[in-house]
Amino acid sequence: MLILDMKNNLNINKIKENKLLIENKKLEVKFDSLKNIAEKLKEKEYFFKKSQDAANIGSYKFDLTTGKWSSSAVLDKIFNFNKKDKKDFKSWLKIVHKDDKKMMEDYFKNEVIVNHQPFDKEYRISVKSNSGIRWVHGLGKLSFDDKNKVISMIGTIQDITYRKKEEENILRINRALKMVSAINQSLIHSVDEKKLLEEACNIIIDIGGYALAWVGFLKHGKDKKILPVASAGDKKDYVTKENFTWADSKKGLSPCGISANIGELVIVNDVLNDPRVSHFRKGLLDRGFKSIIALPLKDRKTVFGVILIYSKFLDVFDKEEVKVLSQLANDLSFGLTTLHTQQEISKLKKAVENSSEVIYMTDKNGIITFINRQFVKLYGYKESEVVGKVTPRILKSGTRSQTQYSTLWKNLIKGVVVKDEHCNKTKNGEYLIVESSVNPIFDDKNKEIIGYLAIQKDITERKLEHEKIKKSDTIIKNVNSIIIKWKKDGTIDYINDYGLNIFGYKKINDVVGKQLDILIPAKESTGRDLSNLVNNMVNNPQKYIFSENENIKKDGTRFWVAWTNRAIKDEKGNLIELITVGNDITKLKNIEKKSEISEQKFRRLFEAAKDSILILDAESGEITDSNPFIQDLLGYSSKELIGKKIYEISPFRDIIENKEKFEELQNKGYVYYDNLPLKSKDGIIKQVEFVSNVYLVADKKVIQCNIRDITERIKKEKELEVAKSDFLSITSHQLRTPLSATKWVLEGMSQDENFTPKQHERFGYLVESNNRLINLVNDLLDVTRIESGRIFVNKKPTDLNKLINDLVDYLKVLSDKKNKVIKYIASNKFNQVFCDPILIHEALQNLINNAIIYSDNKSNEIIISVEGRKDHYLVSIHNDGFIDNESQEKIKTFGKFIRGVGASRVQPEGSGLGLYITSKVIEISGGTVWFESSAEHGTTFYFTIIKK
Amino acid sequence: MDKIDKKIVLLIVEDEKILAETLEEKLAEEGFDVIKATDGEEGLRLALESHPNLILLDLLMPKVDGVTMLKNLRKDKWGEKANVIILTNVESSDKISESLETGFGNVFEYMLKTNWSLEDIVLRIKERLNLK
Repeated sequence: MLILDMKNNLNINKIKENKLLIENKKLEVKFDSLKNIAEKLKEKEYFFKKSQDAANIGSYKFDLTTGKWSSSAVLDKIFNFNKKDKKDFKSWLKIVHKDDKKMMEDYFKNEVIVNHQPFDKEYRISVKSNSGIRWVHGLGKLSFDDKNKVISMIGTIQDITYRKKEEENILRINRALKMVSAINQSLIHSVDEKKLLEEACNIIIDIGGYALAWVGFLKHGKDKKILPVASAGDKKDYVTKENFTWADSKKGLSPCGISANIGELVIVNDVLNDPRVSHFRKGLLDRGFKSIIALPLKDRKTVFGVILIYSKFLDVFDKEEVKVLSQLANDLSFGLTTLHTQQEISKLKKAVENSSEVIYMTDKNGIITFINRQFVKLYGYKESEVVGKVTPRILKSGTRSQTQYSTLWKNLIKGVVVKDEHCNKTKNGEYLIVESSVNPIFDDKNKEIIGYLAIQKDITERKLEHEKIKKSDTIIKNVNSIIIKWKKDGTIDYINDYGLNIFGYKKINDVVGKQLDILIPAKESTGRDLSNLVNNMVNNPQKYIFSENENIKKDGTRFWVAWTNRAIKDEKGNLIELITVGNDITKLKNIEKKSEISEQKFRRLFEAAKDSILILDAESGEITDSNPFIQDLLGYSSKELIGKKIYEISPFRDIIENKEKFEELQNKGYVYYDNLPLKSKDGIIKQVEFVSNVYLVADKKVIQCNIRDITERIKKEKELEVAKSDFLSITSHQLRTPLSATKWVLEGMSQDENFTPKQHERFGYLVESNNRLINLVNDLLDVTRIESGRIFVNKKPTDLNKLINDLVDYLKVLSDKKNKVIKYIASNKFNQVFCDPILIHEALQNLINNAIIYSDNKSNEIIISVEGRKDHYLVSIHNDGFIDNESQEKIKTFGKFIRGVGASRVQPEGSGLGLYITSKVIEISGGTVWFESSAEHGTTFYFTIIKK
Repeated sequence: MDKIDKKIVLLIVEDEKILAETLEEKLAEEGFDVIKATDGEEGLRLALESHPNLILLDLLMPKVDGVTMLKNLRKDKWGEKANVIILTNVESSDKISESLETGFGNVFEYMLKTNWSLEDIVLRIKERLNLK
């Protein structure tokens, strides 16, 4: 049917073209007749002038010696003068129109008075009563005195306003007619709509002499815009600045809006007062537009656009003008419609020419009149070899029976559309299977067949594919893969036995003819929506060459299948059906899923980790991954980090400042920084703990760096330190206060002689117990201090001799009690020893104390000695006591609460902390402590004080 | 022990009543003139009023603690060189060093109450005042 339409359209086009030419002819005739009218008018005017001569020509006499003039009654009427009014040169000049004043004054003074020319001039006057301007024709004849000086001028003044107006009108209409003619010329030659309209607008301005012209097309959207497509005129900015619409709104109430809606022309002859331009008035007046005409552009009855013309004069669009402009709009409408039709036809022509289907036309006898390119391509015949020949004879392959052709013809003659499959032969002798549709073409009256249109599609390949499948069916049947052939609408065409079996069906017909939906769940267990899978595969087979999805068996069991899909296309590239081959991969999928889950778990851990984590390529040092927390810590986003070398990122330069350092990390495999200051992107120093490990991931070495913000931790630790310190001082105070009270009160009481000896004995016990408690508290506080790291070494030059002598003095009370003498031997000469006196005092006091308490009766001496060695002083404290071997082993450890067997016997109340404290105090000072003990030689404790 | 023949004024600044009393009793027995204050504020006032020969100063006290009192005392012209023995149960190197800084060297001494008997305290005071 395509061709028929095309033909019809071509006819229409011809008719339209003719019509246009006729229109133009008509116009020319009109133009001529208008010319005649103009001629006649001039003739009429002559008579008019004649007839008015008597009645409407005023006469005057101007006495140049007095400067006064007198006038007839008619002239008074024309000039609207009273009898009383002064009549001189000034009063005459006063009524001359302001635009003509200068000219008239010059004319009179120079041409008439000086050059003695008779007065003959058409000019305008402004007269009060007769609102508006009137044209007059003044004539005057001069009289001279004997000295050739002008003395008077006698003449007439005629009102010629009517003639002037008519002249203007004629000029105007002439212009309009020329304009229409010019536009019609360009209509005939134009091929481009936009160009045509631009040209038309330009003609309207250039020839028509209007101020602005534009053409707008109506849009049918929600806001019903009128879209300007062409414009011309100085003020065409107006078209782009204003929004035009034909919607049912205030803005739609405009000349163009109304015209678009009613399909009629709209005239506004007075922009200042017409309510239809109230919403546009300012914009119009700003540009000096005083009159507007809007003319609809129509295709038959439908308005598709408007043409707007603006003039700078009032009342421009009168009957004659409107007639001409309407003609213009009609011609333009017709031209545009024609142009459009031409374009449509040319599109159709192209479509037919380039169709991927074979299209050809024959006359009613089957003789080919037209072939398209595909015909040439498929059959290999050139146009000249085919046109004029009978179709079947060329193309017949001989493989089909003669009856097929005669039936075809019988039907065709009856006017039936025949759809059939043929086997045709190309010029090369190849056989083609084509699907063909032959359509009769009827004449305009739809009665007689004038020819046939044949459309053919090459389906050879498709046919062969079918054959192939049929042949390979036996193989397919026995293959251990699922094979399904399905149509593009999703209908299953074929399934092999293996497939049938695996899906749990018994009969082929349980599956074939059904939709693929029975094999595919709407939703996978992973949550993926499969409801569109079939559609997607059909629409985008290229994307689905390999696919993987969950499938469903007859009993509802789900299983995973990896599919290979092949799209079968016809010769035009349209998809017809798909062959999909699949294998059960459920087992594989399960393994994959597990690893996916663990990957996900890892990923979640990685991303939620409070530690910032960087993963580096161990070879290059390039950051391959980072978790979000690093942004919180250092202000760098993953984007900024990934792909960079670690030593290129400024915060890490402190750790890994260059490639060599990085290589060190690479080789070491493990790097740990306890407390490292890193500078964040915005310059804030963060205390971090930095750990990096090297490990293998799938044979690839990676480095994982964990960076933990410990700023907060350090702050907490410091707070804890302060708290601990306060705790220690307060606790010590609280424990000691009652102890000191008891101590002093008991002391006072034991000196009071009012108590009985028995009571005094008991006071002694109390003093003893209290002292034990005091010692225990002191020891415990020492231990606490040591263990919380609250002992600080404060070395200074110390008179060690004095320190020891004072201590010996202090302990004299105790040693006296035990009948021991403490001897101090300083073997070398030394003055000042560099040490912490408090700590050394503590250690010495403990050791001397022990030496006194745990002594034997073999000797009455306790010997303290200090030897200056090369880099240290050796301090020793000797007594006659003996520590048994078993106890020695224990004491060697200098642990807490360790007491020798003998010691417990001698001093059951000892805390077991003294030696521990001593050893710690010495260690803190940088020295070592040890002892020797034998039954024969007694016991010596040694410790060292490091010089410097 | 010999009794003191000249008038020696001692100021005890101690908030713990039993300790203050026991100490006062003992020192009075020894022939000292004893005045007492129970906090650092009162202690400073009394010290500046009576200019005692020696001040026994506790550290942990209500209102104004010993360290603060000592600091304020040292601002005074007389107090700058006044004899002070810190007699306390607070043991903390921080506190000690803090006191040391304000202690102006030899005019200051630090004693732990539990480690000293009343007898020893008297001896120490006498030593400091050169009364032996």
